[in-house]
Amino acid sequence: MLARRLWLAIAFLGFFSASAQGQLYYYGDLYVYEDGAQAWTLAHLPYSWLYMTLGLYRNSSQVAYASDQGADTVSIWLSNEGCLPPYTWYVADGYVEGYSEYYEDWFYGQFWEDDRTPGSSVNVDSASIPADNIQVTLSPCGGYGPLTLQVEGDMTHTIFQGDRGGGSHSFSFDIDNLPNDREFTLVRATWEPYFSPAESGTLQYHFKVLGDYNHTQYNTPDHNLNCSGPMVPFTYINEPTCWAIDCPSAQTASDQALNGWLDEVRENGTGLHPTLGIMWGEPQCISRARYRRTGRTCPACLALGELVPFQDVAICLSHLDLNCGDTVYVHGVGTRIVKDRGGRVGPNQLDHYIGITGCNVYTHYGNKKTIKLY
Amino acid sequence: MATHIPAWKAITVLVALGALVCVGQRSRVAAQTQAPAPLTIDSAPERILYEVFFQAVVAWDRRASDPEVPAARRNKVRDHMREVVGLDVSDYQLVKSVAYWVVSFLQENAIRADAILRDAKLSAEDRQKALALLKAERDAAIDAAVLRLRNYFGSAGFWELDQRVRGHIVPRLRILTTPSGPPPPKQE
Repeated sequence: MLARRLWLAIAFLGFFSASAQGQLYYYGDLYVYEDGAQAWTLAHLPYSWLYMTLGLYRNSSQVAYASDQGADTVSIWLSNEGCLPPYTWYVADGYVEGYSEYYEDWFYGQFWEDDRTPGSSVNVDSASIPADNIQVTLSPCGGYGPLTLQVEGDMTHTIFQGDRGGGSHSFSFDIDNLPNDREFTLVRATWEPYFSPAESGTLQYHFKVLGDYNHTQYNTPDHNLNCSGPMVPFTYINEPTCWAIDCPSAQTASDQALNGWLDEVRENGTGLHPTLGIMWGEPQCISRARYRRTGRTCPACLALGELVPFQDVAICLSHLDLNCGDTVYVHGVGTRIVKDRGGRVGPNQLDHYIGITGCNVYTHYGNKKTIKLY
Repeated sequence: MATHIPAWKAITVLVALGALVCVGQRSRVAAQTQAPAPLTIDSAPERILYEVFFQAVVAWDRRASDPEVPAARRNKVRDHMREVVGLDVSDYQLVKSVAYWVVSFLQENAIRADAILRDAKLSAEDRQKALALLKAERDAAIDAAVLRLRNYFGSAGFWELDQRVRGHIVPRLRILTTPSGPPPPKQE
């Protein structure tokens, strides 16, 4: 009630203070986005009759049209949606005429606005060497033209070149053809839809192609599986510690094992004895014994824990690119962690730990493209 | 850049111009007053500017719920005016509530005006008075809504909002000024 009184008071003051001049106002807005446009017009002429039209054009062709009429205030919405190429040109073209009963006169106005849809955009969504996949999203969906996919680092290598339309695309790294001994830090996709300038998107992705390495296997041979030779006595250090040991004071003991199994323990670094458990090829106290009863695998990268079958690999004693804990991708095999070193492992070789199996039971993977992942 | 003037529009303009010529002296006045006053960002009248702005805020918000607009596009349409004025969601919520209030008021005002215009029993003078009162109410409502924004945003905040509103609305707005005073007597 109070509000109503207030309004009446304001209106009363307004009546005596305001000029009686009236105004037709006419407003239009064209909003263009990646795959369409919305156009809106509004006209207002107090105490009047209005007639209004609005046309929406796309690249000079009319795509929508509407007219409306009514009293006082009239508005029209038009929209157009589609899978459009970049820089599609929209025009909104409107007209209004009104007759004011109050002024007994005609008034009219025009509206014209144009705009273009956004240019192309390229997004490298993800990249994964292990999944051999690069995911790229190109927009707008109506664009079509040459796409170049490259990896950049100490050189630029082109992975893919060809025409593609807007949307989401998957690409292979084409791993077999990645150049050896090259380090890359970036994936770049460059798209040049027809009639539009080139745009590119990048994703930081760090890897080094080490080369075509020889991939061998090693294991923890089980004395009871496939081992041969006569039973022979052997001496071992009876200290369940890995690596560090006070050699002169270390306790030793003796037992018996198949000769072939003992050879395998020295070759592979570990072996499973039927009564003593996991034995380790002693690297530090050879003058007193060639084996140590550790009860565990004791890899060179001791801080990383026990060796895990089909997950961990051994590298040579001094590798230029790889160290404990590094991740490597072996094409066609999978991702592995560097957790061990071996004196007999070459610089272009990775030795894959396959767990407890029999004597001489392993299959080499052969030469495979090997990539360090950062 | 080519413009498009459809045939219907040319005809309509010609008809309108013809009408202006036919009504003689009063038409010349009308023709003069129909020339759009050049609007600048700073000189555009606040009341009209904000009436359009409030109408636009409501229209785009409602448009976002229109089934004609694809679902994937609705948030963009809903956010159009918010992005125009560069406000965060909570500040824009206040703007929207003020806009809905004032637009609803204007709609009611227009209905009342229509009733007055249709009332054959009213004399010309009474009708003019009644309409002038409604116009004053209308103006006061818009002024009150703008004042609400001023109070909410403070002078610096409102100045920023005002610049954005003007920057967007003014280039898209045409204002045609009608003659001052009551309409001249009909020429028999």
